[in-house]
Amino acid sequence: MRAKYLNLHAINGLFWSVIRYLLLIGLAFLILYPLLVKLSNSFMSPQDLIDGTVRFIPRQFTWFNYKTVIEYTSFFKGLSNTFGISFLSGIIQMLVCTMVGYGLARFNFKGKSVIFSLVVLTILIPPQTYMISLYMKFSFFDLFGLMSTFTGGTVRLMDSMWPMAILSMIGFGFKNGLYILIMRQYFKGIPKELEEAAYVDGSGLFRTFSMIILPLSFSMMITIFVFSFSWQWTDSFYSSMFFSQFKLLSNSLLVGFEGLMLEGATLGLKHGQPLTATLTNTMSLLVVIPLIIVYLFAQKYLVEGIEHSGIVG
Amino acid sequence: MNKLSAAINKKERFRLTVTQKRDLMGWVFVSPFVLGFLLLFLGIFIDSLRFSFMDVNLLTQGGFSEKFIGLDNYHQILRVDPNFNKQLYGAVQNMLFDIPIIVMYSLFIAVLLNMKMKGRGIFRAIFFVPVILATGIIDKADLSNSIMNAYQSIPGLDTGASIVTESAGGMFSNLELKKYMFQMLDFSPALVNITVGAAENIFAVINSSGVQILIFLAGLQAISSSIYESAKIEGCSAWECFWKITFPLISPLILVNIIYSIIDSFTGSKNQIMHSITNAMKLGQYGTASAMAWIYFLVAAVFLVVIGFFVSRFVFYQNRE
Repeated sequence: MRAKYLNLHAINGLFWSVIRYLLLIGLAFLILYPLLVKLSNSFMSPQDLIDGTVRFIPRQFTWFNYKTVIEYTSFFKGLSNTFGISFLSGIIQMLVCTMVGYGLARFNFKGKSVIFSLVVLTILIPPQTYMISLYMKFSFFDLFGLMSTFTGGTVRLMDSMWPMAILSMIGFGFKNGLYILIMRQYFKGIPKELEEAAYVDGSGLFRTFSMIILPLSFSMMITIFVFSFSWQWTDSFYSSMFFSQFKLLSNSLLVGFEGLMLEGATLGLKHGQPLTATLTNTMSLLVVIPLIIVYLFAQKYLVEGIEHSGIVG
Repeated sequence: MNKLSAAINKKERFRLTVTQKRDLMGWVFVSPFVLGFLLLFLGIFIDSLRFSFMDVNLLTQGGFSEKFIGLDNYHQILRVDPNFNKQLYGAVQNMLFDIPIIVMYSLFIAVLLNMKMKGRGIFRAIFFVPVILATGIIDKADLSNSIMNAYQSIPGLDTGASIVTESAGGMFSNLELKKYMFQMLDFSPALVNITVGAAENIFAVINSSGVQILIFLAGLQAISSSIYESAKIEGCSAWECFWKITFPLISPLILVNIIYSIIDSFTGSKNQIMHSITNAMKLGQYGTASAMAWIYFLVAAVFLVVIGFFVSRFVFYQNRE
């Protein structure tokens, strides 16, 4: 009787795990398919591309597309710049949004609901609408007119990291309001007893925040970091506005390869013009892949939730 | 008299309880945002509102001129423009239709991905890909690609064209391209839309739920496994565990995800009204664009408040306040 029950249990478990895998693999395929096509495409020589019989597996394997793209966009410079900016704003946004989110979740000061609605408001307003104003603000940057009185002029902050740093610090970076919202909801879900216990033990507000709350919300903070890092990475709105000279991956991708002429890559198009679509595909891959690698690293910390922080249990 | 009231005031202030004092510290925590709002955003916000009542023209020597024209911009959009109302209606309809699907799907996937199994890390990485694609930069590159290919495929590339086009955006870019072409050539897109719509919707749901999945995942991580253990000892089945433990504890994040999905659906790069706003901006009609944005913003805000209000009644917080 018991053996039979165990057997049934095992079969049941096997059944569900097969279903689960089928479902996940199916969905994963749907997500990855466009990238896989791009990947196989990026290794194809121009001959393969116009040959209708070649599908997915290139007949003449070539690094040509990668070489061209990396050279033409000065990829590694763009990569390091993009990494720098994304990392900087990711870290700042993570810290600031955690703070503001905590403030909104745990304190009952007057005007809290007003500030909360302002946070939601900043996400809700399409960024396109304040583009000009924002551009003007950072082209002629000034603090209350203080700078023009002392140094006799405003500062142009374009093509530097300052606009992103400032926007991140005050919580107005790309989708910052969302991060504040996430943190606020998250903190609201954490039992208050943990903090109260710390207060009873004589721990101050900031000490409690840094010793109890921050370790507790580590996985959420990493999530925020991953969001802001990868969105800054692929952002075209702020980066095309603030960085015209500064090399960034997203800008290089959007500018594209239309005007590019190459010796010996003619294919009955314009003379000397390579198949730009393939180059754009290759570039999209090169933009996406570093992010996936970063995510794989961050993932390790995402999995460690409350159990590993040593507070509960 | 003055002295007396001052003294009372002082006494009053002295009487602040410990909690009240502590609550004042909340301002310290939210101060970055408040400062930023006052220093930067408020001005921008007011500018945008002002522009919506004005005729704004960029001057060639830099700067711009503005002329007050009252409600003309709004009149133009709501009464004269034949498309705006239709698009607005469409946007609301899409939003109401998509949000339940997206939120349920992402919760389901997050729970699946949170289970212990082989290859979990890889699956999580794969389901993260839509987050990257959500900013629309790859879409943009693909779209320009498709158009390029339409040009390039004209002279004697018949055999290769389909493959190159396919490679531009994967499975659906063929359909995308057709749609684009039909619209450009003034074909009625209705027929194309029906065929594309069915296939695209699955894809759209998957691609617009990456963020939600990640938020849910992080939330699920925070639920202490000791709760599940004690529930299991009490004889709680997996189904019961989900509805009695996971669901209430994750409900604050369900609210976030609903809010995010509403906002994403309204302001996402695929939204037609956003296209109109951006186009108006590009054409230099800042007044019209601002007015459009404001109408749109108010509509979105109304839906956000109503839906948020109803959903938040079902949200469970562990703290009794």
